[in-house]
Amino acid sequence: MVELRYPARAYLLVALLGAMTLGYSLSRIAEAKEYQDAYPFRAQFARLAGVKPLIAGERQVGYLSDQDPRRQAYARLYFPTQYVLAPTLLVPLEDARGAKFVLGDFTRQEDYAAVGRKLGLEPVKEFPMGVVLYRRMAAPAPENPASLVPRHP
Amino acid sequence: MDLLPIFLAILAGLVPVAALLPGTHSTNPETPRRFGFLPGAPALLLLWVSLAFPLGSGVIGLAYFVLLLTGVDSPWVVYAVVACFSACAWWVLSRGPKAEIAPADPLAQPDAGPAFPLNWLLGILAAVCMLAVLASMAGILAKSPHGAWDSWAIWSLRGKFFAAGDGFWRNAVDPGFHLSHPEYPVMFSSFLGWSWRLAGVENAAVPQAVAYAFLLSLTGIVGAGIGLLRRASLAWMSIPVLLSPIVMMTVPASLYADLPMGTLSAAAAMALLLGIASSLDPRCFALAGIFASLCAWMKEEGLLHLAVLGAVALAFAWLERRRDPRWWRPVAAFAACAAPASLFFAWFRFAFVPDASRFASEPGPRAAGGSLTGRLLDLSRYGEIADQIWRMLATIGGLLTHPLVFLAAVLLLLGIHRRRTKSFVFLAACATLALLWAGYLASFMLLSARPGTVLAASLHRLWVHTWPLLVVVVFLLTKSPEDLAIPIPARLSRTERKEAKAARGRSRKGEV
Repeated sequence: MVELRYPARAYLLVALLGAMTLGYSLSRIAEAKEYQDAYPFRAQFARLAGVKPLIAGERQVGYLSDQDPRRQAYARLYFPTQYVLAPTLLVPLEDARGAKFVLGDFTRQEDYAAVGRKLGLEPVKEFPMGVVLYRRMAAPAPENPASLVPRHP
Repeated sequence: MDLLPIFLAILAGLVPVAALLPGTHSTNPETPRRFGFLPGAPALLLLWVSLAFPLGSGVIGLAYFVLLLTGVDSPWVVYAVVACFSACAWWVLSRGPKAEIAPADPLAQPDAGPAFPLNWLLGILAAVCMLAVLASMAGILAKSPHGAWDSWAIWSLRGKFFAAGDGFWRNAVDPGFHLSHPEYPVMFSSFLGWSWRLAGVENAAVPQAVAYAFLLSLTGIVGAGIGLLRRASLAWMSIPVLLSPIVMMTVPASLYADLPMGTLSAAAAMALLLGIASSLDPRCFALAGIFASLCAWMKEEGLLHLAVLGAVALAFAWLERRRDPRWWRPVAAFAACAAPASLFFAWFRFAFVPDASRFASEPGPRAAGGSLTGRLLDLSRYGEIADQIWRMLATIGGLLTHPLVFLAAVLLLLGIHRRRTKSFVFLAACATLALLWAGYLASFMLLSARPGTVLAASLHRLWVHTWPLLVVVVFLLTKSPEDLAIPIPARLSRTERKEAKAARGRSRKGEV
């Protein structure tokens, strides 16, 4: 009859794995505690809550912003808004010829009605925090939406 | 209701997996126990369940998209179609020969002999690690329930379009959606859409449950696969190592498609390795083919995984041509099972949502310009890639809890099993990993954008695609604690010693 004897390094590996697992588990939990959401969505849901029922059933809605589409700030504004308002697709205004409504998503306080008029849009409703829902005017006087974007050096 | 889609996906995948994995169709009732993992929880059973969810979710994602194309948008009709498909697969496969898996290559056999006595402790360590990752994921998801950027800009966002069904799902692939990626494969989003539709509520809990399910599946595939191919002790050790990179917590919590992609790739590789270990069992190759084609449906990188796994399946079957004149059968099984989803993806990518090639020169600040050859010969691009890999490795773990330290500790303390380095299973795993890495390197070299810029944003999550296979390779290579055991004569118990003494006394008296 024989028994199996394991060398010390087998037990050392188990001890090492134990210590590493413990250290690893504690550091993961600490990292999760320190985690900060860079793009808090809760604010977006509250900001856009009033828009959703008005555009329900619309497959596509135009999208107008005062940010430069070539910059990251535009995407940071667009995607959370799009996520909250899905399944309606927000199409940049210049591509949304057939859309009945246009969503204005602004970062600066302005005369939103005047901004819309320049583009042949009339406001349906203004919401807090730079959100405006427009409708196309019967006789549009369109202007290039890019003119809304401030020039960057 | 949030968990109902997960359970239904597991059920849908379980039947074909059970029909295709070795051991399940054996006439010998001892066979599953030969792969013993834990009493009451054999590795084979764990592997079935772990493979069932990725398979079920992949097939449901594909079926939902196909049925939406045909105008059917009921989630229950989709499930009925998938369930019929599973039942047909079982019926066809269960009528096949009931041969026991008998690997011709003794190196492909799992190790025999008594188990390491501290397996229970290794099991506890694996469970602690798993719980820590799940708890940290839950902590992150509590603060960021909709995941990170690519989740709400691509994957879950498109899932919302699919969840809305008729009239809205086309938004996910609309050219007007060019701010996102309408050309990306839709399997993950389609499954999320189906799940939301089935759950009847469009909340953050469904994508979170899907992420947890994929993480558990990946852990099960790697752990149970190593348990089947080697030993339970190595299987338990592999779990803390697999979960050790910080990206195994952050990427699942981001709700990206990279964790499902890594899970499908690991599933395909494991099915292929089990097929090679089981004398080229065509059923395992068929399962590998299905998973490999689902990789292509999950992310664009999946095309590379499909090509590599196909090439490895072909090469290792061909190497067996002298021993098995019908070596082409497993390759044909792989190709036949990979074909439907692959062809459908080719149609989707090149006909349904055609888009400019990723490798074409593109204008813009990130474009590097130059010909393909010029990019390949540009040494600075290699430098950028090496720099990004170094940066990524420096941030995926602390000094003492770094995943490479885990791997090094296992290899240094257990040593390399030299005989197993000649095993086809090990060589196939190495070939798959090496080809995947070479493919990723080539794609970043050929990309028009500077590789440093692209990798800075993506290397952490890309690591999840191949890390499980690296863990499998290391645990196929290393010795097990049982290999280090030295047999010694057993010490007798007190009663046995008394009996032996009495027997000696009696024999002496007899001699006198």
